[in-house]
Amino acid sequence: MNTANQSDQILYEAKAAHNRIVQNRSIGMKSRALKKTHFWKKVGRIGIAAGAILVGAGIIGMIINGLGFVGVMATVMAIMCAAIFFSSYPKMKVPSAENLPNEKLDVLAGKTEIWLESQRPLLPAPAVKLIDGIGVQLDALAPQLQTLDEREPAAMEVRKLVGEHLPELITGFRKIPPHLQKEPRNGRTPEEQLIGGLKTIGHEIDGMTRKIANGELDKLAVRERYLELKYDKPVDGD
Amino acid sequence: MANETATQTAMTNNELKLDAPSPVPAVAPEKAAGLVPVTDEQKSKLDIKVDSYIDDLVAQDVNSPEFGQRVDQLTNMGRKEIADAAGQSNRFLDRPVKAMDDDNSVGQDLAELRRTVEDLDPSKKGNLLAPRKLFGIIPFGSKLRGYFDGYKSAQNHISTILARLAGGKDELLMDNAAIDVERQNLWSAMGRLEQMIHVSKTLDARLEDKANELDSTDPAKAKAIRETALFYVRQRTQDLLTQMAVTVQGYLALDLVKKNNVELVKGVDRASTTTVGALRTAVTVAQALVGQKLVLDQITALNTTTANIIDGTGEMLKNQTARIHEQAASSTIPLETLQRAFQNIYDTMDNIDAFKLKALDSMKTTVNSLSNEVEKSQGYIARAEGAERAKLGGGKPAESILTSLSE
Repeated sequence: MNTANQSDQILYEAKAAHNRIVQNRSIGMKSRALKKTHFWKKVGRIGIAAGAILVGAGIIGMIINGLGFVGVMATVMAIMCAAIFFSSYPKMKVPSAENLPNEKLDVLAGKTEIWLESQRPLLPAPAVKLIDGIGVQLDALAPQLQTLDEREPAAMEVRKLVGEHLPELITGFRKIPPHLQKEPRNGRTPEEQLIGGLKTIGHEIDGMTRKIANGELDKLAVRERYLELKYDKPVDGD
Repeated sequence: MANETATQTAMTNNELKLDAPSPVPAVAPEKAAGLVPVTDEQKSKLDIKVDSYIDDLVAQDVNSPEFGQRVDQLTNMGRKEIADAAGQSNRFLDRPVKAMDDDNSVGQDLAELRRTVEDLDPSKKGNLLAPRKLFGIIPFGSKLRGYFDGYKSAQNHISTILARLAGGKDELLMDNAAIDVERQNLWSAMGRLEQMIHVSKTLDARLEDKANELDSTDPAKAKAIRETALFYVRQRTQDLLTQMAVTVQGYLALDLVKKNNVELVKGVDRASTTTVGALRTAVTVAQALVGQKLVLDQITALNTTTANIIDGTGEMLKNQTARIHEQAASSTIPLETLQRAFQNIYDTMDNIDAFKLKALDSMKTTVNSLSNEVEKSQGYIARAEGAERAKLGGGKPAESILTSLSE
C-alpha cells in the first residue's frame, strides 16, 4: 500500500515536472530568442547591482575604516538579495491579446509566439499540437517581416491574421465555459471549431509566407534572365 | 573603287529597320478561354472532383443548411485564382505606361547625343578647306585644324553620353528580363484560371443534366439546383472568363512592351556605333588631311567595346581607314566620307524617332483598351469579394475543392 502510494506520488511529480517542461518550452525560434535576450538582460542587471553594492561597501569600508565581519556578511547578503530580486523582477512581459495588433511588424511573430505559449496550457491537446505547428510557421514568416514595409498590403494582412484573428479565435474559445467546450452545438463542438479555425490560420500563414517570398523569387529569376539577355547571345526572334 | 562600292552597299544593306509592333486588340471574354491548354489528365482529375461535388450536393436535403453551404462553395469558386491573376493585372498596366514616358533616360540621352554631334558636323562649318585668315586678310593656319580641335573638347561629353546610353540599354534589358518573368507567372496564372473555367463549364453542363434528371423524381430539388447552384455557376463562369480576358490581354501587352524594348536596344546600339564610327573617321581624316594626330582616347576605349556590337562595323572602319589614306591626295573625298558618317548618325536617330512615334501609338491604343478591361474586371472582383464578406458573416467558411485548385 505504502509503496503504491509512493509510486503514485512519484508518477504525479514526474507528470508535473514534464508539464512544466512542456509549458516552458518555446514553440518557436523567435520566442526563444526574445526569452534569451530577456535572460541576458537579467544577468546584466544582477551584475550591475552586485557591482554597485561592492563599490558602495568599499566606500563605506574606507570611511569607517574596515567593514569587519558583520559588514562583509551584510554585503554578501545584499548581493544575494539583489540577485534574487532581479532574477524574478521585472517579469518578462507576456503580451496581451489586445496589444498584439499594435506590436511592431518585426517583433510581431515573436510576441505572438510568446502569447501563444502562455495560452497553450489552457487549450485542448489537439489544439496545442496545431499551435506548435503555427509556431514553426511563424518562425518561417518572421525573417520576411523584418524587411517588409508596414504600409504594404501584405504587411497589413499579416498583422490582421497573426495579430488579430489568431488571438481573437483563441480568446473567443476560452470565454466558453469549460464544460461547454466539448458539447456539440449544431453538430460541431467548440473544440472542433477552434481546431478548424487554427488549421485555416496555419494554412493562411503558410500562404502569406509564400506570397511575400514571391517578390524575392521573382527578383532572382529576373536577375538570371537579365544576365542571360545581356551576356548570352540574345534570342529575340530575329 | 570596287572595294568602295562593296563597302557602301554593305552599309546600305545593313540599314537599320525598327518595326513598331502593332497594338494589342481587346480580347472578348468568350474568346479568352482555350489559350492555355489543359491536359486531358488534368481534365479527368477535375471532372472527378466535379462529379463528387454534384453527388454530394444532390444527397443533401434542399432546405437544409448543408445544401446552402454546398451552394456557397460555388460563389467562392476560383476565388484564389482570380485574386492571383487580378493582383498581377494591377502591375502589368505600369509597364506600357512607363514605356510611353518620353522622359526616360534613353530618350534624353539620344537627344543630347544628337545635339553634341550636330556641333561637330562638318557640313555645318562652311568650307573647311578654305584657308583661315586673320582679320580676313592674313593667312593664319587652316580652318580644318580648328575644326578637328573641336573633337578633343567634345570627346569627354560624348563618351559620357555613350556610357549613359549603355546604362539605359542595360535598363531596357532588365525591363525585358522582368517582363519575361512576369509573363511566365501570368502564363501559370492563366493555366490555373483555365482549369477553373473547365471546372465551372463542366459543373454547368452536369448540373443542367442533373436538374433535368430530377425533374420527374424530385422537382423541388431540380428547381433549387437551377435557381441557386446553376445560377451561381454561370455567374462565376462569367467572372472567370472576364479575368481570363484581362490576363490574356495583359500578357500580350507585355509582349508588346518587350518588342518595343528590343527595337529600342537595337536603335541605341546603332546610334552608339554610328557615333563612334564617325569619330573614328574624323581621326583618320584629320591624320590624312592635315597630318594632325587627333587623340581621342575616350572614344578609342569605347570603340573596342561598342564596335563589336554589330558585326562588321569594325571591318568597315578598317576598310574605310585604308581608303581615306589612299584618297588623301584629293582632299574633298575624305571630307565627304566624314559627312556621310555624320549622315549615318542622323539617319539612325531619325529612324529611332519615327519608331518611337509609331510605337507610342500602338502603346496608347493598348493601354487604353487594357485599362478599360482591367476596370471592368475589377468591378467583378469587387462584387465577388462582397459576396465573400457577406458569407463570412454566417458561420464556418466553406472549405471546398472548388475554392482553389491547391486544395
